[in-house]
Amino acid sequence: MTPADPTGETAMTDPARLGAPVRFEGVGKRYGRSWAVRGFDLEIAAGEFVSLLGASGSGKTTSLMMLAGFETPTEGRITVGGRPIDAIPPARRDIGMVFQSYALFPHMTAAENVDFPLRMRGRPKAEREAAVARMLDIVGLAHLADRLPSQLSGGQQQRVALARAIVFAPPVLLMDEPLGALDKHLRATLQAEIKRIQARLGLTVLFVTHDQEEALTMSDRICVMRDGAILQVDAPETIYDRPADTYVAAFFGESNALAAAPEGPGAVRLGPVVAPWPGAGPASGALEIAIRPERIAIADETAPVPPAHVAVFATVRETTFVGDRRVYLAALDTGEAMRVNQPLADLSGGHAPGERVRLHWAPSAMRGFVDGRAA
Amino acid sequence: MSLAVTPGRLGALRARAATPAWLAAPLIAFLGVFYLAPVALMLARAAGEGDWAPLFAAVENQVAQRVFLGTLEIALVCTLATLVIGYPLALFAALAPPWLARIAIAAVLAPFWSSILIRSYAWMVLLGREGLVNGALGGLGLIEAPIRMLNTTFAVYVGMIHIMLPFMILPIYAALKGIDGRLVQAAENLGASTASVLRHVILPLSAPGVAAGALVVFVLSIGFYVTPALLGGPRDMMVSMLIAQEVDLYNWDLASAYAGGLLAITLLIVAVASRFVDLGKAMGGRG
Repeated sequence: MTPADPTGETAMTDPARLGAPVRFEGVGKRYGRSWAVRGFDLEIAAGEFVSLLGASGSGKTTSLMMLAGFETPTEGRITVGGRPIDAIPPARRDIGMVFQSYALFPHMTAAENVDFPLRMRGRPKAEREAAVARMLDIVGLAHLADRLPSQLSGGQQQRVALARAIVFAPPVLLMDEPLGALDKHLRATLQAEIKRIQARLGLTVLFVTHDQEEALTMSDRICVMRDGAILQVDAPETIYDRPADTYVAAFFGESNALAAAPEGPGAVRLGPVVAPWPGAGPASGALEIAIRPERIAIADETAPVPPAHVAVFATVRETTFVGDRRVYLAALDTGEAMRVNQPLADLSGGHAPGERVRLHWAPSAMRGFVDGRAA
Repeated sequence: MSLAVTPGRLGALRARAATPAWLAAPLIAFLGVFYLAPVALMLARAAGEGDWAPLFAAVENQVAQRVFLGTLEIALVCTLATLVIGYPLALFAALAPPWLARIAIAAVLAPFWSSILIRSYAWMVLLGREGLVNGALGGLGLIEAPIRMLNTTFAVYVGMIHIMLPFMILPIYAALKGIDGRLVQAAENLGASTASVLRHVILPLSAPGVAAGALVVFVLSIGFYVTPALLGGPRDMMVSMLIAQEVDLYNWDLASAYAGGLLAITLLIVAVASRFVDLGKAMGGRG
């Protein structure tokens, strides 16, 4: 766990930074008999960017809505800046929010939309005008201030929604799949832009997404959710490199999962070969070894292999050229399929379908799981 | 975003018949014979023998002038009153949980199941000297002698507002139901109080429904006959009653001129309103 700013000191020392720490303590939400979220514990430092990641129905939006005040927790409590907010109605929580569909007011221009939260707070007109102009400038829409939402593109509407959510300097910004409706190129641009603005203003951000790549590129930490519970909260690199269970391992990027059997102390059998057991705990129960495709090397059947490496024979089934790499689907002699990503410095050294090859990897590339949990 | 229209059977039919206008032929024939032709004949009568004498007589008639102005006043008051009474009810129905909303809308629609004539007679029973209202007030000791309510302008308003309310409530309800709930959430999230949400989000976004309801109520009101005739007094004569009176006296030309005037006013209002409201959409169509 490496929050960007674990103490919140930055927010204390720099008045220009807005972020406040947020804390969920044992929060649960029940609808009828089923729990949408349960046992939700999460601490977000001031100025930190945390993503809630999960499939639909994992409880991520429910958690966000409880922080915004549109859902009431059945149990537990939520604090912002150390202050419990459960009794505060949504309108007085001072939490910025970018809705999934933007929820821009269709009868107001871009500038009027951005002005709305300031008007609701009764700020003087001159101050409001300056703040709206500055914010539209930050999101690059100063020239479209007088357009109605229906006259703006999806990306422009998204920017208006963002400007409206942060113009009143909220200590916390919530975003509910804010980029879901946009095309891939625009998403990348806006991801960078949101990060830039977040860093500049020091906002605490809770970002809901089901896109693992988006979560990896934007977050300080990612909170992976499934069936209303947290599976893992960690920095993107940790999540990717040390997934807490096989679900998280499969959710982020690709992963080869191989069944393993105990083979003496500190070793397991992987099909025809014996490999060191990568887990810290004892190798007992249902064992699984996961290896990322990019950590596996592919070589001719007879080529030499580094002595410490684990090596298996396989037959190439498919070869796909993806520009910067080749993707192989290879079948082990046990019948298990493995995916291998071969980075390409040049185009030599390809392997055709049907070819016998050797796959090999360093023991440090392996992750061990017992009954689905990281061991 | 627009949903692609699935070319079902009707789509295929539409594609085969280049213009489906012939489908409207029976209706056009019916309207032509029983509506357009009589209206044309009526307007021709108003023209007199080319000198428009009946029309001039109608315009110069001081009684008619007073009746036209009075009719417009009654229609305007009915429109405003139904708006003030109907908007909160439509808002209640739109915000209520589904089962309660169904009850509220059923209550609004219930009067449609009985004729205007019967509803007007019902008000006569309620508002008469020996009626339920006077009976109740007298029984409670609030009044000593029965209040004269029947055959007054008050009774006309009570009856007409009652009958017109659904025409105001339904378009407003439809407009309110069409407002995206996330806009209300967004407004609250941005710091708007309940009153501010109402004023800055709900009211402006339901304006098309208000305009449609107001137009329908106003246009129906200026042509109303039965209810003011039964509930009103001699001073509450409306244009429709004036026309009926002239018809009774066999003054067909003058009656035609009055009717033409009423038609012209109605068309003018609809024409002006249609510049501001998408009438097709507001009346429940898809625009």
